[in-house]
Amino acid sequence: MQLTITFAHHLPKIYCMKKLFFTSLLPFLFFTFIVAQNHTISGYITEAKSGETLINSSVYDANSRKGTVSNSYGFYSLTLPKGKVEMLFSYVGFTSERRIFNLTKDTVINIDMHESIELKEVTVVGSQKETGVKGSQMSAIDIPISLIKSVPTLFGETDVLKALQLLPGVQGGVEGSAGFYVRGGGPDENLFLLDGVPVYNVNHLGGLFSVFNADAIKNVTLYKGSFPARFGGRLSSVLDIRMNDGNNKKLHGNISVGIVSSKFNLEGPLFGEKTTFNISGRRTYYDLLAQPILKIYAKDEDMDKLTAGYYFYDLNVKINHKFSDKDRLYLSAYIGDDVIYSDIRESYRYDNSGSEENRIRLNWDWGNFITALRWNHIINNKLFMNTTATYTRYRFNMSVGADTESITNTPPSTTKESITLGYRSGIEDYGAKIDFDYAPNPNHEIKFGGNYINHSFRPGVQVLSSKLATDSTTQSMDTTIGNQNIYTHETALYAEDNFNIGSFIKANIGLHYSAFFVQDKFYHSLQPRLGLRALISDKLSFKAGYALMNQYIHLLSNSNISLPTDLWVPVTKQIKPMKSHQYSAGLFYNFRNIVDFSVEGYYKSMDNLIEYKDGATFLGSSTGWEEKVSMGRGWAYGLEFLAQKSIGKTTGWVGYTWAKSERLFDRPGEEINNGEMFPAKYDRRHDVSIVVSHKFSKKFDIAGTWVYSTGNSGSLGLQNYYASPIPGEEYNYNNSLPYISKRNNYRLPDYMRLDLGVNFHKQKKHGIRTWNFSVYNATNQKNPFLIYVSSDYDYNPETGEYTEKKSLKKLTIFTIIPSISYTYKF
Amino acid sequence: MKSIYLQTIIFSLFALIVTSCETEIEFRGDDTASLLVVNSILSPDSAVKVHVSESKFFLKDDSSFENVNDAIVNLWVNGSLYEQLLSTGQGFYAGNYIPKAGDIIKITAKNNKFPEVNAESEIVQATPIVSVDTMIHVSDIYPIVNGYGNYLDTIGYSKMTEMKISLKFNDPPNQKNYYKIAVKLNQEYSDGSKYMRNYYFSSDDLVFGNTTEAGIFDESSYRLYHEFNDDLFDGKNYSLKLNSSFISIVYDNNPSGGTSDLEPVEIVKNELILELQSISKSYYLYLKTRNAGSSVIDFFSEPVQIYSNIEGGIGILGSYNTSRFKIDIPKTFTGEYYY
Repeated sequence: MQLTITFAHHLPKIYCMKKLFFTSLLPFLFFTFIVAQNHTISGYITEAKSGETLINSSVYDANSRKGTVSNSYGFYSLTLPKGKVEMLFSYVGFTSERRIFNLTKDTVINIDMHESIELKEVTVVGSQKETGVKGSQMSAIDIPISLIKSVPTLFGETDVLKALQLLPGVQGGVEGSAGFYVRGGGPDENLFLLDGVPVYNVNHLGGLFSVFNADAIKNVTLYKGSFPARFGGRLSSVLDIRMNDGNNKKLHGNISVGIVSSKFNLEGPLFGEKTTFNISGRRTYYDLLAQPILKIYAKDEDMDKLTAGYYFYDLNVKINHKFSDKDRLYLSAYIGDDVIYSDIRESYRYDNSGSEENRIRLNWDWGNFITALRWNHIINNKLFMNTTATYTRYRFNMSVGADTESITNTPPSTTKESITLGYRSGIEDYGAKIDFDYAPNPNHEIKFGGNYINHSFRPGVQVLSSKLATDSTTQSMDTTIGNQNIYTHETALYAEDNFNIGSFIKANIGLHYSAFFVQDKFYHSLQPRLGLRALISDKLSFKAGYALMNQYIHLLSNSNISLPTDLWVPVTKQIKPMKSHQYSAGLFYNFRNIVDFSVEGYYKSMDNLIEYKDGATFLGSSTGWEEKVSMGRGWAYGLEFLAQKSIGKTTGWVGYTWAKSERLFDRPGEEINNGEMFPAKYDRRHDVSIVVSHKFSKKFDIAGTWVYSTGNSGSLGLQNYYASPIPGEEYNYNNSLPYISKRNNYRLPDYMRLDLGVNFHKQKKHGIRTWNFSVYNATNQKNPFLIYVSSDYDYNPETGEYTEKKSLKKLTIFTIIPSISYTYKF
Repeated sequence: MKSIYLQTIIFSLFALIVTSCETEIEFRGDDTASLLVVNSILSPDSAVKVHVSESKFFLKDDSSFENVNDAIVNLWVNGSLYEQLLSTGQGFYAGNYIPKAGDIIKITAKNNKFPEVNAESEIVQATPIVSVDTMIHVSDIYPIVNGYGNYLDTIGYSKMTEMKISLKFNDPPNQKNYYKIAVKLNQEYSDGSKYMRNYYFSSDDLVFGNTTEAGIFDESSYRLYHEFNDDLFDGKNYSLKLNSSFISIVYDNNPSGGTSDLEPVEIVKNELILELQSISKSYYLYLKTRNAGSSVIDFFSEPVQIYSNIEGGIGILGSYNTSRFKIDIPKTFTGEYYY
């Protein structure tokens, strides 16, 4: 037996120097010494049919019982002792690939995996993946995109966020919205990453739809706790969404027509197999359908022109070029906007005296633009580098204007008057990051790297311009009111080691250091992260996790729903960064490689949370926002149960959550609820969800979801009382006041919903067509969107008096909603 | 044409689908019993007076409040029972004691229906106004418009004057102080009649915590009073900045032919009274939350919890102590302009 330093074998000196440098960066790389001669097996795992890389594929050597998973770019690296190896490559829904050979040197094996034709033949070692029984990651879940697509949704629009709302630990806010509240956290505490780039506004149409087009997505992983050190910047969750790279074999695509929007997806090779593209788009077209009706209306009302409408669109584009086996370049972009517009023109003619033309214009648009240029480079078969330059921006523009042109015949003169009120807000980031995956030996998977983001916060700015022009004079005025942009710098460094101690213990220990520089104030934080797995048996493990998280930005929102005027603002000297400590522990069990069971408990304490003071209003103005919020603490704890079946004819999950989330705002001068504890906005005790999809045959499949949850809480004045006049006031304005004993003192009725969907597929000459029929809220449950007090008046004809009758009413916005869509895939 | 009909059908179908529905629901909860309501804002200007009533479950049809005239209402001064207040009808109870600055006043109230409720408040010291500076300028001149919207530009013009007021006072050190500022207009006419009313004003002073700052859809910035605290100037001299606007109607030399509602008013005294009230913390929190509750305009906003310091019941026991400063203003300043 020979004692060898692994990286000193076979490699040129320059590589050894690089590794020495990287190794010296990480204090916990002391396990780089092993006591046997080793060789590395590395490569990419791709889908045979499309060439699409597969993320989190399991790579396992049955002889040494060592394994790993492919990273976000499909790359894997496993270093094993020389000798006979029996490699098993597996991925959910694909036939496993086995390679048995004698390992005598470093070996590159690129694996093409084939989608399983016969479902019963599927074998998968799901427990090997990081979120499985044998992985060290807990409080995280991968949902196959095919399952997300099968979940029946509102108006038949496939929606990633709404599918994730059905998972334990995730709550969806008000009815129908794509709101996202994870483990008692707020709506701004989630990091949405699209190909590694933050997305600031994930909603279309006030949250009824999310911006993620499922046709463009390859993989979705949600982290709710036990965050690996590579993630940071938000307290409650990380949603890591990866886009498809594009088919490198053949041109493929699909078109889909639904009742709200139409979609298309096209992917294929460009100039040979080395370059691929993937482009997906969708647009709602209700505004286009409405135009002829508006024309008729305009004609009836003697208008010269009437156009008005609302639409949103998304466009995802990704181009990927493989320079060599070691270098790949990706360019990905997303652009999406919501647009509200109207243009009304009217004209009047006054016999012989003159005429007047009026025009009213309105244009609102808001949306994201995201782009990333990424370079993957395999430095050597154990070290993978990913370098990314990113740009992301969210902006809201509003413009309302009126134009008038008056013509007088005698004396001949023309007067033109124009006034425009504009409003702009948003956030813009330029960023760069570098990430390394280093697998020195089978017992260590090390990730390290860093990033830098330059944020430009654009608080609301109003622009008022007017112009008055006569035959002889012109007067114009331009006024801009609002705050200047705020520029901040955010940077982070991280390192994590996912390592084995024997076969019993696996741990992911990491450190995340983040720093934020804003208006001469420097905040920084060192955040330890820990994930631990103890393998009780091959099928059963115990996991525990801890994560300290920091957040330097807030979303100012006045409402329970997502509005485009919501503003992102950075922390300030007065408003400190939010931070949380989350502890979690649970049991994970894999039943015959078919069903994964998990029971997790968590406890999260949060500090420097902000809540809006009573009656504070923002409505797009960030001026003085610090005075309008209070800072306080929060606690969230709960128990989550999940049974997930990802393979076979029947897939889906059953989830249950018991949770509690509380807030305490008792700092002097910042008291909310009189400084006493109160339930958080989306504190709900019970959440149950069942998601089932079943394939009867190639031609026919069905899906259904059923959800039940405790009602949301809200503040309701249960007593009204007489308010004395304010001394010195002549009138007693509003002498009846509501008495709210406690914030969020009333619980709305429980929520329940059943959604059903059915797909009919048929092989056509050039592809497969699918008819989808779905029903949202199939039992027509009258779930509350909000509740309010209503007054009706009964008239007594004998006395001539009206009697007021008050009642509590609930408003249901989505009763039973059927929908239909047609998809042709080629 | 056929396609338009088809689009109309799709349009209507979509509209039908998203049509919401409202249904009555049964209230589930046990907080339906009414509570005793006690309201009293005390001042060294007058004897103690308390109003007692019953709160009402929010779904009760009757909109009037029940006054409580049979309560035992006791006044405690600095820890000792001073007197039992006597019912004067309409829910009011009056005593003889005129509070002094520094007094700790406690009120207890109960009757056969409600258990005893109580509240305590300190009578605060007045904070004298040291000086007041004003600066005026004409900000706009525009035609006179009568009540029918007609321009009467042949008889004169309207003038808007902006007045900037700087009110200086000394904040007592080492203690938390709360204030309320109000502006009143006192007008005396040649026929001997007098007219005193609250006057709208605005301010962009930082002490108001941007309560007057308007958002993109929020137009109102003028109020009849503002409450604030000494967070920003504890123990220092502070000059509070206020703005008021006045409209004057300036007639041409001979205003003959003017309509009766535009005849000049004979004002013999025209003065602005600035009232700086030192107020108790309870009164400050009550005003702040009451105003916030009435100004919520967003349908989805968090409802406001109005401050109450009545233990076992609802209402407010607070106090104020007033300092005044009077400024004579031109007699032509007849109206106010606010938006």
